[in-house]
Amino acid sequence: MIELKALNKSFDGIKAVDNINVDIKEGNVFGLIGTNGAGKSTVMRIMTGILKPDSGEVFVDGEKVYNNVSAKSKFFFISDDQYFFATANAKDMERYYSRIYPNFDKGAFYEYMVRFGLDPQRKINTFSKGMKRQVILLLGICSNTKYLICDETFDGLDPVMRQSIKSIFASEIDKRQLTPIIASHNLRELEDICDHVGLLHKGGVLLSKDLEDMKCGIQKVQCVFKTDGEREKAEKLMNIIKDEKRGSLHTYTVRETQESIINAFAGIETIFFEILPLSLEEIFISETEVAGYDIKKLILG
Amino acid sequence: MTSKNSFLVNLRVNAKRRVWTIALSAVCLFFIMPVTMMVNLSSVVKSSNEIYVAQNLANTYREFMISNSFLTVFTTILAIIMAIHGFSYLFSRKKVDMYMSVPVKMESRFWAIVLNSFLIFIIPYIICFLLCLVVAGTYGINDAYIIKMAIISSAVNVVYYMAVYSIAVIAVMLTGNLPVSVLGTGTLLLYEVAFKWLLWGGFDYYFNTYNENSAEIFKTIWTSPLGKIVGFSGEFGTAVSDKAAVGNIVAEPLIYILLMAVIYIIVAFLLYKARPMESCGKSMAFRKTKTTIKRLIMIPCALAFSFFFDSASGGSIFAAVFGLLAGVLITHVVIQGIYEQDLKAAFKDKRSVIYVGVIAGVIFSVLRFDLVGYDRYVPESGKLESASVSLDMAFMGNETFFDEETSGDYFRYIGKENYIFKNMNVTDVDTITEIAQNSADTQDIIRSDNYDNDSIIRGSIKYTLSGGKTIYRDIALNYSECEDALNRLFANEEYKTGNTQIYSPVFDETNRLDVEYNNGAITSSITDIESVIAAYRQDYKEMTFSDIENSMGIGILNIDVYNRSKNYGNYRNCEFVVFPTFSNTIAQLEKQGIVIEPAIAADDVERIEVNYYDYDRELNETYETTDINEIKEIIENSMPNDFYMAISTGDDFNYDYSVTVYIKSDSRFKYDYEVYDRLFLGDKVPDFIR
Repeated sequence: MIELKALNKSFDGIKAVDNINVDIKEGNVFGLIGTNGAGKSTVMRIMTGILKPDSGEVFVDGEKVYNNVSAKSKFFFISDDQYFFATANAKDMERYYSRIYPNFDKGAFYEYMVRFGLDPQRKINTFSKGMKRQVILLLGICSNTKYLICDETFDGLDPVMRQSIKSIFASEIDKRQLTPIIASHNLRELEDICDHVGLLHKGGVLLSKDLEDMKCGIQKVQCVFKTDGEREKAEKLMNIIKDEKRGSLHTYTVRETQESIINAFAGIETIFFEILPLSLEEIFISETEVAGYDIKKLILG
Repeated sequence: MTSKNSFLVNLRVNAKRRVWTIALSAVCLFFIMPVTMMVNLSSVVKSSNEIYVAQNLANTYREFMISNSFLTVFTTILAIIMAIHGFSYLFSRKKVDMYMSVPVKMESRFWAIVLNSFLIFIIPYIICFLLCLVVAGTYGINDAYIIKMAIISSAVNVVYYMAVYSIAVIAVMLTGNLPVSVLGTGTLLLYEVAFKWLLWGGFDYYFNTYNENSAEIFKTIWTSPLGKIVGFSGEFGTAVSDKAAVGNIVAEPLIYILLMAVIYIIVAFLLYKARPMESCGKSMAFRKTKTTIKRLIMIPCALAFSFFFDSASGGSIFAAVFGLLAGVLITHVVIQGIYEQDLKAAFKDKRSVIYVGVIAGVIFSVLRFDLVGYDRYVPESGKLESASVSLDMAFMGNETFFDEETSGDYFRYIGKENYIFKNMNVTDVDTITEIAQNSADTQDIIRSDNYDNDSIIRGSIKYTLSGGKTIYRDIALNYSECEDALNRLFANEEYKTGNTQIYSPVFDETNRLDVEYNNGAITSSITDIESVIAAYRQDYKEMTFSDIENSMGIGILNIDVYNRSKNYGNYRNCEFVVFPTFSNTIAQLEKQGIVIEPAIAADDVERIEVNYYDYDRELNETYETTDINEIKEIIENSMPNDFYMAISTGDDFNYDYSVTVYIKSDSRFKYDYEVYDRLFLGDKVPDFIR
C-alpha cells in the first residue's frame, strides 16, 4: 500500500499540495484526476521521492520513500515528459533499467517491442511522441515492480495503442497484482480501467472513492410519467440529486441503488422507464455539484 | 544475484553518459602535453646554435614540465566543465524526475559522479605525463631532478583540479540553470581575489602611508584555489630553476589546496542533499541564500564604481557618491534580472539597495576620509619593541641588495626596503616614536597637496610590537622638524648595520669576493680585500648624517659576491659609495696604489661638449670647450651619469644638459675609456654654458 499522510507542499508561497491524505491499496488501479494545476504531478513527484514535502510523509509498504532504495525499487515512475539518454536506443534504456530493477524481464520487453513494431536499435530521439510513450510504458511494465506510477501517460497514444496498453495492464494486474497509479485530466480515459479514483483540486483531495461504490450508489433514471400525479409520487420515493426535463422525458440522477429504484417504480405508472449506467464524468459532475463546485470548470478547465 | 545498485554499477553507468568529456580530457591533454612538448623541443633543435642546443632543450623541458601555465588554464576549464556537466541533470526537470525516481541512493550517485570526474582527468593526465617522459627520452634530456619536480608540480595540479572542481560543484548546487551556474562558478573562484584586489587598490590609493608589505593580507587568498595556484606556480618555477629547496614552497599550497578540495566537496555534498529538486530551471536553488549572495556581490561592485568615479573626477566627493549609487542600482538591477529572469523584478527587494548602499558607503568613507586614522598611526611606546627604517635620501636609495637566504645556484636581488626590514632592528623607541609622530603630523601637509617636495623625506618603516606583531607604513618626514631625530637615528649602530649589506658575514668570505674601486673614470682592482672592507665598515659606522647631507660620493666599491667560490658559479654585484669623510677606506685604497682623485684631471681632457635640449621648445644646442678653466668648472659641477647612488640629499641630476668628456690620448692617468658621459647636478650649470 502507498500511504500519503498529511502532505503539504508549496512553491514560492503558492500552495501546490494541501493536506493530502490518500491510501492506495494494492491490486487496484488508482486514478488521480484533476485539472491543469490541480497538483497531480506534484503529488506524483512527492509519492515517488523526487520532491520532498514541506510536511507529511509518503510510505510505500510501510517504508518512507525519500532517498530510500528499497522503497523506490517497488515502483516505476513514468513522467509526463520522460527523459531518455541522448542518442540512446531502447536497448540502451533496457540495459540501464535492468541494472537498477533486479526483476526486469528482458525477454518480455523485447517481445513487446516486436509486438508493438518498435525497433530496439533505433535511436529514441527519432521516435514520435507516441512511440516514446510506448517504449517507456513497456520499460515500466517489464521492470516488474509492484507499482507503476504514470503521470498523464496515455496522452499521445492512439486509441488502438491505448487499448493494447490497457489490456497489458489488465493482464499484469491479474498475473502479479500490479498496482497502476495513473494521473490524468481525462476522465473518459480512466473510466474503463480505474478501480479507485481521487479528484484533486487546488492541491487538495476533493473526492476519493471506489468506482463501483460510486456507480452502485448513484443511478440515472429516464422516464415518461402517465400523469403528473404519478410523477410526484415517484419523486417522493427517490433521493434525487439532479433532475432534467425535456418535453415529457425526465432524466433523474438519484442517489439510490438499482434495486431500490426498481422497487420504487413498481407502483408507478409510466409510459417509459429505464435505468442507465452513469459515466465517470457524469458521476463526478453530480458528486461535485453537490459539493458546490462547477465540475465543468474543474474538469474542462 | 549481485546488487545492481552497487557503487561500481553507478560508476559505470555514469561513465557511459560522459563519453564526450572523457574524449575531451584525453584529446586535449594529449595535445597540450606530449604533442606540444614534442613540437617545442623540435623547434628548439632547429633554432638553437649547436653549442647551446643541449642547454636550451633542458631549459625548455624544465619550463614545460614545471611551469606550464597553459596546462593550469586547461585544468581550470576542464574542472569547471566536469563539475557542471556531471551535475547538469539538476537543471532539467525531466532528468531530475528520472534520476530521482529510480532506486539509486543520492549519496551513491553523487560520489560516483565525483569519482568519475576525477578519473576522467587523472588517467589521461598520467598517461600523457609518461608520454612526455618518453618524448624527453628520445631527445636524451631526461633528468631525475626535473622528473621529481615535475611529479611534485603534477601533484599540485591534480589537487588544484579537485579544488576547482569542488568549488564549481558548489556553484551548481546553489544555482538552477547553466548560465547562472557558470556565473556562480566564476564568482566563487574570483570573489575573494577581486574583493581583496579592490580593497588593496583602495588602501594604496587613499592611504598615503600604505606600504606594500601590508599587502600580505590582500595577497593571501583563503577561499580560491585559483588565487593559491597563481602565487605557487611562479615561485616554484623560480626555485626549480635555481635548484633551490622547494619543500617550504610546495608544502603550504599543496596542503592548503588539498584542504580546500576536501572541505568544498563536503559542502557541495551537503548542499546536494539539501537542494530542493523543484529548483531546476530557476536561477538560484536556495531561496534563503539569494539575498545574501546578491548583497555580497553588490558591495564590491558599488565600491568599484565609487573608486572609479572618485579617481576619474580627480577626487570629487559628489562624483564618488554618484558612482556609489550607480554601482548599487546597476548591480541590483542586473542581479535581480538574473534571479527572476525579468527586468521588472528590479523593483523588488529595495531593502538590499539600502543595506548595500550603507555598507559600501561606510567602507568608502573609511578609506576616503581615513576615519580609522590609518595615516596617523603612531605605535604606543609601551607596545613598541623595535623598528626598521628605510629612508629615500642621499645615496641610500641605490645600494644593491641580494637575498643571502636564497638557496640553490643563484642569489636573488631583493629591494633595499626588504633587506632593511629583514636585517634592521632599532630599539631606540623614543627616536622611532618621534619619527612616527612627525610622519603622522606631516600627513595633513601631504593631503593638502601644497608643499615643497624637497622639504619632505620619504621612506618606510616596519614596527615590531610586543607579541611579535609587525605593522608597516610609508612615512613622510618634515625634515626641518625632525632633524634631531634623524641625526640620532643615523648615529644609532643598529640603524647603520641594518641599513647596508656590507656588515653581512658574506663579505668576510673574501674567497667569494671580487672587489674593484671606480672613481668615476678609472676602475682599479683591489687585492687586499679584507682590509678595505674592514676600513669601509669602520667609516660607515663613524659616518654622520651631516657628512652625507650635503656631500657627494667620490667613488664606488664594486663587489661581486659569488655563490660559491670566486669565479665559480653565479654572482651578484653590489655597489657601496665612498664619501670624502671615509678616511680609513681612502687610506687603504691609496695604500694599494689606487687613484682616488681626481676622477678626471682637467689637463687630461681634450675637449668637452655640452648639449642642451629643450623638449618643449624643441631646442637643441651644443657648447664645446677646450679651455682648461671651463673644463675644470664643468667637471667639478658634474658627476658620471651612472653615479646616481652617490648623489646627496636634495640633489638630482639635471637632465636638460648632457656632458661628454673626451680624454686625450696621452693622458696622465690610465682611464677606462676615451669618452665619458656626465650630468650636471641640479642648477650647478656654469654661467658660460647657460
